[in-house]
Amino acid sequence: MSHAQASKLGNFSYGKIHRDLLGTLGVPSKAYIALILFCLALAGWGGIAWGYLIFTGMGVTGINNPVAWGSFITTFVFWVGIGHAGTLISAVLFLLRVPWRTAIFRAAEASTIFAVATAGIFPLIHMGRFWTVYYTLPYPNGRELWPNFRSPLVWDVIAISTYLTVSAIFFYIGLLPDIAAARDRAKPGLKKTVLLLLSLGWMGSFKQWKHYTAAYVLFAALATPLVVSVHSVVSWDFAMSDVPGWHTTIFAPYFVAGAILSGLAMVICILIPLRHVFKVKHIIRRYHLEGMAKLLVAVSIIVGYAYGVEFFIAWYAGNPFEVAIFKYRPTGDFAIQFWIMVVCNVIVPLLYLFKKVRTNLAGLFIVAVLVNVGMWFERYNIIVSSLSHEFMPHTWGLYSMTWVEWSILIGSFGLFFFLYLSFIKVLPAISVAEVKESMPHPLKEKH
Amino acid sequence: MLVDRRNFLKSMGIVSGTAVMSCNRMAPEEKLSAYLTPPVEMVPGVAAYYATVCRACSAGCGILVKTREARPIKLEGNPAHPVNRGALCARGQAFIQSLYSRARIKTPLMRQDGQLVAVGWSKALKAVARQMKGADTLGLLTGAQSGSFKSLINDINDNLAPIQHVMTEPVALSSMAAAAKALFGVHRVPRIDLSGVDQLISLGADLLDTFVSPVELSRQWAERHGVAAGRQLQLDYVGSRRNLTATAADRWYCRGAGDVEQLAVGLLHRVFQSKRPTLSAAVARAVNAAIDKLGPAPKLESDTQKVQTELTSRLLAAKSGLVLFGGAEVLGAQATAVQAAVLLTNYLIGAIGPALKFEPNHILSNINSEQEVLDLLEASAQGTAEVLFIHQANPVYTLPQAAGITTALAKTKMVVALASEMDETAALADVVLPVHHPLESWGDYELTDGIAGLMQPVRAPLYDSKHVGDLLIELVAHAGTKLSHKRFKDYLVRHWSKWSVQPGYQASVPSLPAPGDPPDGGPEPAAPAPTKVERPTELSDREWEEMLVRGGRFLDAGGPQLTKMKLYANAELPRFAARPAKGSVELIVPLSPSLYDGRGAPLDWLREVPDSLLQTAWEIPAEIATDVARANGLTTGDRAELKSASGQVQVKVIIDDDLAPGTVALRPGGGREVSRHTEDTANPMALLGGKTDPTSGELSRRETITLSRIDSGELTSVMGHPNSEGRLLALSMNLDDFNRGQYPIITRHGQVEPAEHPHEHKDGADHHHPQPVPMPHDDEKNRGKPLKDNVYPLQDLPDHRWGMVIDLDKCTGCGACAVACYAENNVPVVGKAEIQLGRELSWLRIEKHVFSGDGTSRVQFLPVMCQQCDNAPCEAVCPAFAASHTRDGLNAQIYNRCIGTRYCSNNCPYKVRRFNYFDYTREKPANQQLNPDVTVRTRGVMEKCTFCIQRIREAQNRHQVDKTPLEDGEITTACAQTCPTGAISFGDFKRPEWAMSKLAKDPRGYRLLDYMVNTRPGVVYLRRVNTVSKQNKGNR
Repeated sequence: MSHAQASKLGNFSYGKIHRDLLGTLGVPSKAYIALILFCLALAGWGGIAWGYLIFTGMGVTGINNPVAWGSFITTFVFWVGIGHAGTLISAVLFLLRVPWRTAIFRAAEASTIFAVATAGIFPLIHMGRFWTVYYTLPYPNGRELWPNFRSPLVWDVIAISTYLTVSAIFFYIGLLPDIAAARDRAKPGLKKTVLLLLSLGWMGSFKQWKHYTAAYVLFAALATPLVVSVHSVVSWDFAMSDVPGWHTTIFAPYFVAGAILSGLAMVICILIPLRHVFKVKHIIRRYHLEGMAKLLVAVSIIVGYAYGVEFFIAWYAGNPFEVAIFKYRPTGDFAIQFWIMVVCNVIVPLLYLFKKVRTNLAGLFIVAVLVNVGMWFERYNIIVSSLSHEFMPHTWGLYSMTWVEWSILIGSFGLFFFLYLSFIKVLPAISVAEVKESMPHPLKEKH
Repeated sequence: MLVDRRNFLKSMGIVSGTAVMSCNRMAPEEKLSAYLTPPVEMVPGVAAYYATVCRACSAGCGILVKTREARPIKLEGNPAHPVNRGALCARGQAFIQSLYSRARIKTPLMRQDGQLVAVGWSKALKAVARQMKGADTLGLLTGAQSGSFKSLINDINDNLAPIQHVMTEPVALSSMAAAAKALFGVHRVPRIDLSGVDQLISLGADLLDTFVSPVELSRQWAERHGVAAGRQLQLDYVGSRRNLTATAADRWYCRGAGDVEQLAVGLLHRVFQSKRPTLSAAVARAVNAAIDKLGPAPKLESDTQKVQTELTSRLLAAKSGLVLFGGAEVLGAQATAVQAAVLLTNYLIGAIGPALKFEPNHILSNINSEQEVLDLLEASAQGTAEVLFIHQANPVYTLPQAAGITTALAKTKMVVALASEMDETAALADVVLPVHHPLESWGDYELTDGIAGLMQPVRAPLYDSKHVGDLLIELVAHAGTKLSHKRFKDYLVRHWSKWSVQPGYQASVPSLPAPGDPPDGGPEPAAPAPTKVERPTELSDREWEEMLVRGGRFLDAGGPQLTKMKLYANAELPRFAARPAKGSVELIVPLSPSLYDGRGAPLDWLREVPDSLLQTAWEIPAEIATDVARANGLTTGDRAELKSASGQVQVKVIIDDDLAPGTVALRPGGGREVSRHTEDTANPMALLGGKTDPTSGELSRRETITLSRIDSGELTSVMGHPNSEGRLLALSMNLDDFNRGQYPIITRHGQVEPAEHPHEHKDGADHHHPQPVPMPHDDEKNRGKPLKDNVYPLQDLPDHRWGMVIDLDKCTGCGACAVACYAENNVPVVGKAEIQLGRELSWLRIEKHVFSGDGTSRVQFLPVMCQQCDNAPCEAVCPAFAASHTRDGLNAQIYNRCIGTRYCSNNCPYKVRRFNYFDYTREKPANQQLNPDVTVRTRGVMEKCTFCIQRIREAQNRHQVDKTPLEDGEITTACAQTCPTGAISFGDFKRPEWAMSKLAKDPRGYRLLDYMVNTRPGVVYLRRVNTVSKQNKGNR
């Protein structure tokens, strides 16, 4: 089966693809404006809540002793997880030459960048004194004070910033030919000037393409290990501690799998409305979505396996504190969250085993949304249930979120979608160059 | 002009100086002036200590007030004082808060049109003096007063008008004095001395909670009960609540107050039966006559009968036994009869003299009964006493409302409150005159002739108040009469001159050999005639200063002469009647170890530090027995209405599994306007009918009530879970195993009980032997060496490894350590709502662990503070090195480096790190109490115990200057310093010869959770040793 057949971009000309895809950058509709303003308002509300938190104190959240980490770390891990699918699809699937990657990778990559950026705010929100955040950076100072490199939180700072940097560069390189294409179409003005600068003088010459291709492969290779490393490091925030239910070696692969699961689900959630609104159903086809769905169900099974292994190891190792926490999770105060997690992440995705579901847009969408919900609760469950039942029973305590935490959580969604919506109107959310590249030669025609 | 450096600086100086001067109007004017001649003892940055007396209750413990820059910041026990020997209870630690209380009265108040309004001193004084001038009789109601105050009152009595002076203190054992009067002819309360007692049977006397002198009795109990001293004293407690005493007791028998009374009388019968053959005919006859008066032996239920048999045999088997009766929770309307039975029992077993010391001038002997207080109030209402002064007493709150005190006060011509804090009684007074707080006052507190505490002011008065003595002198002067002295201090010095030992004078109270002979009923030998001496008019300055520094005058060994107790041949005793039929719910009103009779309620530390027994903070719930709860459909946290014939209250309830069936206990402290968070609390005195024991006049603290549920709610509990879930936390062992020298062993896999120890094989191989986890002395040997059970070698600590030993066998859970920690370390009070969310900032908590099963249960307390781990999990995870290890083995917390990730808290297995969720401010003037050596933490940072590092550094700095080595016992933490039983000791593991290091090698020792998390803490806990492995549960 040829590449072209596989991608099923049979009967369109380069010109049509060019027009359709760059056409998405046209004048925004009223609905779009309303939507982006709504997202901005949500983000603003979250910002106000954060401001209130800063000026009043961490006490406005529900955290306490013993549950010193709550929804902010949950949401941080959630967004870092979302940020996984993009690089996975754009880099790993690129290196593996997976055919259904082409039409969707840009949209996925964008979600990575914005998700990681959103995630990056949360450690700041979470800190008791966020204005001293620079203590975690190895900056030169007269007292020769360094951050504590033994602390997983410092690893976190390094891992996330590396991941964000590499993903952004990779994203930008992939965008270059398309920025140039958009530049060529733009009328003279500010937009044209900006695009002109951003396109770095891309002319589409043979030499440029040669360097471009080499660089792209190189960055794909560089980004691939980061997909694994970044969430492994995030998982070590937990695994390196002594907290029962956190202190386990399975955490790195378990978190990576979970991250990919949530990232894929988020990409599916984004693509379904995107292809509808942009009228590119002929480019992002059900075939692509189905490919994602298949990957998702596979990852979900891995995640389910990890859940099972956690329980098995707790029983097998016989550490009474571990045993207690794994008895507590499904039956204790946070049992509802636990079962939401199991149902949404392990049972619901199994529906994708049925072709009827994974080719049905509504089915695809609902399952993907539920997986996202489930993944948020997974982190909530890991963090909160473990902290609330640690070593000393006398100190056990519960946690619930306050309006400030809800506002900031919702605000983070507002921010993410605001950034995403802004992006899709400025630059093509589907790679023009790569889609064209994947088309069979005979269909080429002059623009 | 050439602008060179000098000119530039000059002109800049002028410009900035002018700028600063002109800005000066912006800021409020504050005067900062240096001492011309600073007081000699005041060195900035160095604490000065002043000895005085704690007046939080009638025990009269000596205190040292730590002042910094002329501000009192902390109270510590006076080591020279024989009552408390350096220790203080929770109330004593919090007593300083009453100095800075928000309820302090700032100016004189007078009632005008029904309202108390602020007036000037002269107007108030004139008004009172006018009333005094024509008065035939004056009334005076005070708390316990002694010595110089008494001589002032006598002076007024002689020169102006007769004064009816009535003193009141809660549970002052008037019934015991009345019983002693009836049996032996002396109206006296004895001092209790456990130093020779082997078997103590306490019938409701909560000697470790509130009974008479809890700090002193706790120490005496621990000294003989602790297994370190060979468990020479066993304590059997019979009472309706599992209070601190019951928890610490070797055996606890849960019996309702009525049962306890009957047991007491029954015990006398049994003891008499077996002792009779050994008694002389005269004594036997006298005892028999007394028993006849009391009535026949009560008919006990079979299980109570069994308890009585057990107690009797243990009491008779003991070399020296003692029976105590009369804690707040058992005092009823027959108190004198029961006390008489108990005194007779003690007489028969020879406890009177060695253990119950009847000294001539014990202050409690002079305290009046509640009935006498009511009589005084009634007399005032009827116009007998025209002016009623009330000082250090709050009858409106502490006595039953049904007794009509409010009406009596309203009818009295003039009620003058001489108060330092606003309370319920002052609010009803006609004139309120602010007097100095005891910490601002001269005075004395003579517990007995042998123990006289001297009080000195430790700071300038905070408000426009007067010393109560000076005030009375001034009033008398206004009324036109002259007294012998113009100032109260002159009375004090004059009174204390009796202690003068200047050449030419002889002390009026010579140190005489004691204790008295065993009771034989024989004739009392003639007391040695007191040497007639002429009292000096003045003490020498040196003597006065010595006494001030020492905190008073304390007789050495022996104490004052004991009164010979001769049993009357035909004592007049009330008859003891068996209690009424069952079926009703009985309310008991015990005293609270922290709030006492309610006076602790305005002090935030005492409310914030959770009650050890109930593990609730800020709440004062009614404890209800399980059967009462079931019958009334109540669950813990519900609001209920408690109703008696005299009134009703609405309170939250807590179900107490360890309460005798049919019992409800409500402690005072609730419903006070002067305290915070009074919602759903109430004064139990609204329910009591005001019944008193007819013989002694002591208040009955029991009442029949009914309950009904209002609605549900939630209690502010700090306890996440009541039991240890099998984890090795609060550990104990059996006395039998201890005596055999067989200790449980803790290995990396858990605990191996002595019975499970494998026997050594004959081939000598002991690989089946359990491998105990290392202890600190093992760690000290292995520092820097590779270890099998540790990835890295332990860190090398060159000079010190500070450490602590907590002997759980001595810990009573009194909570003094927790309050001391608040005082020492500027720990903020967060309030009820925050504690409900789990945000208390206590650095030291007392955990309650309940071990229950098959109808039995045992309670053990576990004080937990930062364990100062060698392998500290908190340190590795802090990204900013805010949590880091010091070179002397402490887990330091650098507050200004903390960024608030709270990772350290997650990783702390002990959960002893506390986060500042908000900025916690102290109301003025409470901010003056802050310890300047300890940083006040800002919002957003983590804080924790560091073994009072400021005390360590203070001593080290001192020795740095002196170039002398540190001595054992020189450094101690606030918690260890105040512990009444000496359960906590502090030291250095690098000094094996220091006491703490020796204690840490006790085979009872273990380190918390170390077996699983390998943290290698610096705190060693010593197991509690249980005489009986399981106690009966309250609700049988």
